Amino acid sequence: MMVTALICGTLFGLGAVFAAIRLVKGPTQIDRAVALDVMLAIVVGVIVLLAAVSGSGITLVIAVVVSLLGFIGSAGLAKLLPRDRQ
Amino acid sequence: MTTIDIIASVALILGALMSLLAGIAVLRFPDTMSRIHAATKPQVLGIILLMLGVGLRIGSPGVIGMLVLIVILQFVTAPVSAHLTVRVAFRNAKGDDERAMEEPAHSASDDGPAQMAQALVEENANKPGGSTNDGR
Repeated sequence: MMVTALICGTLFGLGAVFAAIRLVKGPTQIDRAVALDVMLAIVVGVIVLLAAVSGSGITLVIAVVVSLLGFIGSAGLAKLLPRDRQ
Repeated sequence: MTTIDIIASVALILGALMSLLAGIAVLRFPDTMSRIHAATKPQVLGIILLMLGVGLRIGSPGVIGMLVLIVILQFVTAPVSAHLTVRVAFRNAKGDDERAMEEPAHSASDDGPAQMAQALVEENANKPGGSTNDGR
């Protein structure tokens, strides 16, 4: 199980780094919102992986809250981002 | 290391791989809409694979109930948030690059993808009318 945790942690870390690069240099604000969404999905995945490694499901409550907060943040960004650039 | 553990490990690694693919795609794809398309994959398929791995590893009913709750929440919220984001991207893409689709001139009302496609077809068929599009 530790080997699985190491492999999954490496994959999650690489994905988060790539999304962070897009978050820094995204041309538009929508790209940054999308990169933030990907990073939030990775955070949910890491929390779930922590639950799988530790063998107790107590951290899954945090995963529920983070996924709901991700939806609220994404919908709010889509509503409040400036629409012009023309 | 039983068979169930091996299946759970494979599911966890596939879910993590989905996140890595989304990261690479968000970094490498050339367009905002293709990035949104790729970014929606780990939010549904990756979460389902991870939940499958955790549910195979921890078998208690409370944990499985919470996993099903997370999966249902992701199923409901991920397409909605992606649709909201891509709508803003669609309306902004007009001023950004030339090869992006033009917004139909008579779509003052809020419309779905089918009506959007029909409006594009109508706009290509005949000359577009007066610009009544001033945003909502």
